[in-house]
Amino acid sequence: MRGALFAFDDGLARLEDMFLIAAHAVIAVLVCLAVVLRYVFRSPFTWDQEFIVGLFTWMIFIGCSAAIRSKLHIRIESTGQLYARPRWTFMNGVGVAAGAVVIGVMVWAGLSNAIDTADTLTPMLNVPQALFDAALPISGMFLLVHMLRILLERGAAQVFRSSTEDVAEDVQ
Amino acid sequence: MTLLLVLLTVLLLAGMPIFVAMIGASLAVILWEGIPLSVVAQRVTTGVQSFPLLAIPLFTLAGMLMNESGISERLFTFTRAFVGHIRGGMAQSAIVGNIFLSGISGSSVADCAATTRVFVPQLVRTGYGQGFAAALCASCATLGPIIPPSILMVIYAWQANISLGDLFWAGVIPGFVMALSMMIAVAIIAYRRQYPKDAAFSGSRLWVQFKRAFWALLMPVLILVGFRMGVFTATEIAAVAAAYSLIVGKFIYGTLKWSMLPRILLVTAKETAVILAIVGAAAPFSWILSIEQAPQLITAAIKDLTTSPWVLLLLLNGVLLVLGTFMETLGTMIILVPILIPVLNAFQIDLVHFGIVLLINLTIGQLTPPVGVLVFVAASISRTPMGRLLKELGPFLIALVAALIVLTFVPSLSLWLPRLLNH
Repeated sequence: MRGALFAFDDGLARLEDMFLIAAHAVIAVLVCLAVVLRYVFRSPFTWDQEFIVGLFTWMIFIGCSAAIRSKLHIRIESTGQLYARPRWTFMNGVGVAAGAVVIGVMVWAGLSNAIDTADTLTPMLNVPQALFDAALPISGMFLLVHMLRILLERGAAQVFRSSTEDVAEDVQ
Repeated sequence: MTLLLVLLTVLLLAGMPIFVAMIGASLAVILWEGIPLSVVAQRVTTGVQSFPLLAIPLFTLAGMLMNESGISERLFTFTRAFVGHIRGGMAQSAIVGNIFLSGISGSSVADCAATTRVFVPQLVRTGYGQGFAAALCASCATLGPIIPPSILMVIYAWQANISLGDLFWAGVIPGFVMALSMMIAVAIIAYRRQYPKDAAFSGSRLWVQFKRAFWALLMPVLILVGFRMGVFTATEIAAVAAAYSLIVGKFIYGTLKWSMLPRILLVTAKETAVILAIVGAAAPFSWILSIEQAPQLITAAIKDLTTSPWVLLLLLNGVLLVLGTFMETLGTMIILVPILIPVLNAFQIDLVHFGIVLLINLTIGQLTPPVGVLVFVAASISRTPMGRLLKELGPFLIALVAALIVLTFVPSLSLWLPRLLNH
């Protein structure tokens, strides 16, 4: 079970990374292309902004999920130092449990929102708004999988730990 | 409002990432008020669906492409040829070099890492103390968010609904004032400790190094001129800057390889996502604050305390400096700005001027433990014991706080350039 979860998480991580590289490259190229078409050829796209913003939305939420594996998220770092003390270690578990509840509720709220907007079409691309709104709940599920993996593999103290805390600990 | 702020504090103290804590506090209040929870999801999603915010990943990409092209070495060699001949010249060249580096990267942490890697070994080799060298490199990096382009400025301009071009231009003179204040501190220390100086100034050496660094030096100029023209949007300028960095790194300097691009794109995408997740989480948070009329209540409370904009700025400086010691820069800014904007408007404080004051306060916070990220980075890379670094940090902190006071109470230092260019 544990091995299957880790393998699934590794696969998810690879997919996320590939998506992020591709999405960021496509966004950068499209914005540059739009500049050339608008100011050089005076013939701008009509759909570019909507498509770019939609892709950008996915990039942010998937990136937000992927960032937890790279310890990039930002929190009050001194809490990590405080909860490393023996008397306070239980707070790591409390923080992770509360965080998982918040993200779980957010996934549910995001799914409700995506279902609500399934019939609403975007103005330029004429695609359901839910295609963009689904980024939040789907990436929230990915984030929960990553959190579970870190929790099982390295313990509660490591789930929300940032790389800055590693650097600070290294220095001290 | 009280429930929202108490919950946010509790969740932050539970050790959650800022974006999770903000969403958690908003969800609880929404649930308490009987509003559908999907409103929070809708606000978070629409909060990031903004074309102007695309400037953030593109400026970050431009900065990282330049950094990976090895421009820091070229810039520092150029600045050493420029100021190396004065006493403590190598330390001075780190400060001047950071003025240019800040005009390219937009990230204080990246600037700090680059400066520490290049300078600390050289400074120690030529007789400077290791603690001094690391403290200097950490302090120089505070110029990053003040000198354009700056990611924090993009977010502040978006939050305060002001012109990003004005804010970028407003950061130029304050950046120089901060650099000057640190240079004075270094000059005094160098004179007292008799730190070394390089060979006499040579115009031909400066010209050779200028030519080596020319294409990197041109980038901030292109960005500011792009804003001055008033034709391009911030996102378009950021995209052009990214394309320019790629061309310079790949085809002019030849140091950037295609194989490096996937890693650069991945890192910048993740770094951007972390920032914008907080921006998205702030959308329902600010919405709740506004429906509960929090800004109006806070404005009224502050007006009971004082009616002077100068006293308010002094108070805000104190609060921001204290907050900066234990809160992360971006989180503090995103939480406070929606609350402060109506207060600042009521006191008729210019939002561009305040933006500069806010950013200086928060970047000084990056130098002070327990959340002094620049101190950690400089100490870690240079392998300097924390105690030795902190012991040498005092003069730099005094210099930066002095610059902050001057820039707070002389708004024309921030506003002169944008006003000149707007007329």
